[in-house]
Amino acid sequence: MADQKQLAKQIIDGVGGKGNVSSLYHCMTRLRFKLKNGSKFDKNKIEQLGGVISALESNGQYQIVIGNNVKSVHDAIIDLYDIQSASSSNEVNDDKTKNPVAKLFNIMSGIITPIVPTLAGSGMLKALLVILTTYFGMSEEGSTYLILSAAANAVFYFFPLALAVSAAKVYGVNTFVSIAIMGALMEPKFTGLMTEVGDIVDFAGLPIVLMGYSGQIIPAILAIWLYSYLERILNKLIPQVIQMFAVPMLALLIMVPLTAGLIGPFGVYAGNGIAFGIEFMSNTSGMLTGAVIGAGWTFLVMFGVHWGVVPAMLQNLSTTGYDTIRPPVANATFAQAGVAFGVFLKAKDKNLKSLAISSMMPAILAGITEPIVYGLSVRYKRPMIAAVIGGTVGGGFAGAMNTTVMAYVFPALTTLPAFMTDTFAYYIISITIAFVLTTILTYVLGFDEGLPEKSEEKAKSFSNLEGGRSTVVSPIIGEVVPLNKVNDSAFSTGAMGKGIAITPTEGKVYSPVSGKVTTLFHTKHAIGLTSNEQVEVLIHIGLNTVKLDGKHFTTHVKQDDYVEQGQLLLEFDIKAIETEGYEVTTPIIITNSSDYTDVIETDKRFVTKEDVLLTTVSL
Amino acid sequence: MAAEKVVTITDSTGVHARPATVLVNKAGSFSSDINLEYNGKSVNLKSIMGVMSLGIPKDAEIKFIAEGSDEQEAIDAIYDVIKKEGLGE
Repeated sequence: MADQKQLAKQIIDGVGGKGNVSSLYHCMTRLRFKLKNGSKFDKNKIEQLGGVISALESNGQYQIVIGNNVKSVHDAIIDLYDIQSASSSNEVNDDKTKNPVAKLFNIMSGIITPIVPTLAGSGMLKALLVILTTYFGMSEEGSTYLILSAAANAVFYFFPLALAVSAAKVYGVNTFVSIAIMGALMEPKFTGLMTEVGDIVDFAGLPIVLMGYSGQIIPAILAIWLYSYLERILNKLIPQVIQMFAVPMLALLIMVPLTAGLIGPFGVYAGNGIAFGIEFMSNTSGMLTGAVIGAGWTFLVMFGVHWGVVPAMLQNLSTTGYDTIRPPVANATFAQAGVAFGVFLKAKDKNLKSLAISSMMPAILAGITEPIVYGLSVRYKRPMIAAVIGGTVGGGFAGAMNTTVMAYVFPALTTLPAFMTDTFAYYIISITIAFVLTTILTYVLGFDEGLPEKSEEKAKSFSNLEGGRSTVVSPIIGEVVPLNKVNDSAFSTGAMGKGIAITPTEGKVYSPVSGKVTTLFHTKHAIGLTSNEQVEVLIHIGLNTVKLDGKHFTTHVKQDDYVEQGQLLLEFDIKAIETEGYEVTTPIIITNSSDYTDVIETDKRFVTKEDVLLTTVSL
Repeated sequence: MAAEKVVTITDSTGVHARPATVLVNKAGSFSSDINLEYNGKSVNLKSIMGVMSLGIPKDAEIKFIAEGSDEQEAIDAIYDVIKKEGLGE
């Protein structure tokens, strides 16, 4: 299950992210994507994934051949992402099968992700203000500063409101009631009750502990979560006619005191507890904490578990104004960038070099490491070891020095200002260590270069373990036509088997396999071969050309002859056939398709006789 | 006991790709083993390549032999298809 989840993530990554997917369904062996932008479909990357047999584009549809497991991978994708499944026939309640921790992290990510850009922008604005006051003599008393400071601070101050909106969407409840519930705790009359945190006031005979809720994360999430149950109950109980005002009224009447009295203080203490715990950890052994984060962060992100830590960072920032987790995290990022640079230096293949350098850019400029993580580290494995060591050392150093950050930003060169606290120098040193050390280690440890070898290895492992694949090269030079576009239903419906068609530019048929000529019809327009691997290939030259009764065809082999791949089988006169009013489009069919898990078509538009045209796969 | 049926091909082009497909798909819907004999050779009627390899021309006499739980239904259904497609009689 965990494997499927990871594969699901990698596949979505390979098709250009969730946002690029318009729809998804699956057939017996393939995931079939409709994508908004097809150029983001990274065929090579997807084909390197374990569990993926092949990837191809056909008729604007992007297909990933998985094999028999396709349903569970499909379901994992639907489970993880909010993607519309075109095959909604099997809508079992997926929530029940999901483990609660994963579900919690998904919810966390769903609530916080939409707010992150604003947090990052506000954080950078804060950092800018620090620079302005420290180096450019801007007065912290002046109104200019105060206005800009308000701009930078607002999202943090009103964090519970932002979370209320976001959580309301995630839990599917009324957004405005949610804002009102959390807003009540920040309303001046309510905050005016408190002179000091922990003050106790009376609410209808019950004691309520007062807290400052601005900047808090957990109270809002808990409150809206509870409210989601309450709203459902109220909607059921209250008659339709008065629902419009009665549901919000009762919701506020119940939720506000409940939140002020119970959920709120609990959330604040829990939040402070987390922040305190982290503070405690970094104070006791900053080095160990930093080293663990620097080494492990990439893996946390890969499994989506980092959403358990993100709230702690945010909590740190909003309660203390700085955070000590992000700097070690930055070391994981710069270690990955080091992988890319190391691969760039070491790689001999030009394509790999350019892949490495182009995936390094988003990492160092925006802190986005996925292209490196999946494209280089996970694929070649040894660079990942280098990154873990680099991240450990850099993160350990950052942690040992209690390096801080003052905003929630993705670590990158562009966000350096956010790290300009009194530990800025240590930060620079730590990320330099992570980057340089990983670069050197990646270079020294090396990696097995070359994708073709990899896929060969994969092909071999398929044949050794569970089955095999056989290739059929193109028998004809010409333009590729999908089988379902052929103007003859015997072929286009797949009744004869899976395959592909070619519109020939040369009137010659070469043997697509080594094997035996099983059938050479007396009308010479169709030739069938059985390869040494028992793949049955039928080449049917032209449509309805059986009626030509052999005219314009010249054969060079006889039935039952043994032929080598590439051997000339027969010739035909394209012009003459067309003049007689027949299409020369030539379907090439694997007539025993049902013996295989799948038959994969080429994704080339034009093929010559050396190109692989069809590949049969069995598992 | 096997069910059998002898048919004479009347279609001027013989049993080429399209009729072969129709026969094979029909045969595939039955659980019985179904063979096709022509010119002293016998092939599995559930294989397109097998049927085509016989290269059956017009006027050929061919024999279908089915063996299994639904042999009679199979032979009847195949004969129906042959008549309907104008392939033989």
